Amino acid sequence: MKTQPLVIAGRTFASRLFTGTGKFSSSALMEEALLASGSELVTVALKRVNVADADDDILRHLGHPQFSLLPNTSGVRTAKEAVFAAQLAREALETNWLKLEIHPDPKYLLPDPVETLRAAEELVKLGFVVLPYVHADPVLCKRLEEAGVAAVMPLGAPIGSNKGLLTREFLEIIIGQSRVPVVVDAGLGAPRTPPPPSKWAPTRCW
Amino acid sequence: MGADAVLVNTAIAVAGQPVAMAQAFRLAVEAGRLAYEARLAAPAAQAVASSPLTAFLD
Amino acid sequence: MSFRPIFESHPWDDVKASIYAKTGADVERALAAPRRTLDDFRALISPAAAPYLEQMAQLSQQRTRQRFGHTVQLYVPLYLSNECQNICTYCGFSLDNKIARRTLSSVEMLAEAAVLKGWGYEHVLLVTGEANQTVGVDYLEKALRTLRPHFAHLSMEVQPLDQEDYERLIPEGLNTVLVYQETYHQDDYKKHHPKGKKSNFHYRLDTPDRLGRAGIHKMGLGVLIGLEDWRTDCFYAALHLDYLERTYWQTKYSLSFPRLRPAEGMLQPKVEMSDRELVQLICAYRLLSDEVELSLSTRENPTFRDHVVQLGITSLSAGSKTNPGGYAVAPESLEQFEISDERSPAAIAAMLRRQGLEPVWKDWDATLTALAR
Repeated sequence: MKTQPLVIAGRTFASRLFTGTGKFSSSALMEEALLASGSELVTVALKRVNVADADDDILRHLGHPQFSLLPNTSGVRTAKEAVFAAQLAREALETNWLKLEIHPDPKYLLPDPVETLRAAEELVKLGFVVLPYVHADPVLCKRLEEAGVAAVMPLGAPIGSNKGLLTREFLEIIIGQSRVPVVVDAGLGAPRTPPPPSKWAPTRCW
Repeated sequence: MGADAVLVNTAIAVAGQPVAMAQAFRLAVEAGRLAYEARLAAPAAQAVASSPLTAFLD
Repeated sequence: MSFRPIFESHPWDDVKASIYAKTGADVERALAAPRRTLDDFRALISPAAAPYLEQMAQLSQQRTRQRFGHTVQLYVPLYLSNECQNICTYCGFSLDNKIARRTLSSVEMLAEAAVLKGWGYEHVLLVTGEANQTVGVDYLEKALRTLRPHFAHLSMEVQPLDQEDYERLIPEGLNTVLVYQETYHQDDYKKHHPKGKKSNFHYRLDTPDRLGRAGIHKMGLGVLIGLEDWRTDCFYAALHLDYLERTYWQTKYSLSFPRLRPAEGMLQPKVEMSDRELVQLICAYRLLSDEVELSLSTRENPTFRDHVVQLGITSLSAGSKTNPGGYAVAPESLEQFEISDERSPAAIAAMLRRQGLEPVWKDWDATLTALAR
């Protein structure tokens, strides 16, 4: 039985598992794992790839038709830097999709809400399909939605912490009131499923 | 909970066997979604012996 | 605001006594703590922690893999000059050493850079001595402008500068600055740095604050191991790190722990640190901070380096020459210190891959921030 496909900015995804490309012990293993995941949207840090090099080791291993690349701005600290990085990504990787990540704090990599909203507003005007990484802040997600982002990506727990859904209550509020797709980003630890039913059912229909 | 998708990196990359873990996440996401769309049964209500407040309606 | 009041509220002898007073129970408490404090760190670097080394190593490995994944960053030093107006008792470039002095021209820098590019490097550490007439800020600015088009990440290990100087160099593509205190023991510092601008202990101590205020992306701290009691000195480095992380919260940090190596005409280390003790220190730093970069140079021997990349080290240099012009222009000139691991960058990358680690050549893009300003 198939689940309903997910649509973001007019593009349909059969898989609801998006993946990242960092921390693998080799690019070959990354490629094999991503193929096994069935993922169709793969995020890659602009700072890690050599966009001038057609033979870049990471990009070379992502050249499968089922993978769409989602460049991310990891490493930038301000809206201005993010907009610049986005333009570089669009030119080099030939996609106007962007995972907007602004985490000026290198310790916990927590997103800066002020700079993220500013950058999102600017990038939407410049024609980008913006998927911002944000804290599980329902009001911020609504503000981003109003700014025209294609989806919101609230965190479940600090990046790389594998702690699971620490922000559960807030994610439920975001999901309950969002008009754009909600992608839970960061902190997921184990493939647990299905989720226990919550006290109040999200009213959203699919 | 009804999220549209999840993004996973570290949990796969740092797993003992990343390829197997990638597949596990694939199945888990599919199962979770399928369960969500199939509408999970609500947790069983407490059994109540009598209905003192509404018995007069019977 | 600066580190100085915190530093002054921790007298050397008190710190040293508190470290050596730690017991096995303190170590066990530190190992069990979900978030470790500076007091836990004292226990982990104390002699009492020696029997717990394997446990520390396992925890350290786990924390490192969780945070950094299966990756190790590679960088290479590019010595631009060995001119120096300082006397440092342990350094081959010391003013009183009669060696041939050389400062690379832009053309020579590019010749050196071509070799490093050929090896695959994107991250280069520019190194000079301290000679403000020849290698002052103007020279450093010129070097950054010359090299920026060729590398994604430029770091610098040169004399401490004023805040305005850093503010001038950062937009030219300067991403990281390493400035080691050498020792936090004031009297000993004076003894080892009797002459030159470097003899000013406090100007050096305040350098990370100036860097932080200038908005540097990453800075590296450390002590030169061999000058003083390493446990006490490394506690101060951790104290400094703790203060900096809280104050300049947008900056990344890196720690080094170079062990004094024999250099031409130089003193022998006062304190020797064994391999076991260095592993203990590496693990203790990792257990204090999941995210701090721990860097190891070619001073250390191949066997040791091959093992510690599994235990907490996240950044390695390889193929290094510590003499200006050493890669292409003047390969025979005298080095700052002896290299212990002479393997090529390709051999180091292959060693990492054999251990299931991905060598990372590029993890920054200078154009991202410099042009956005």
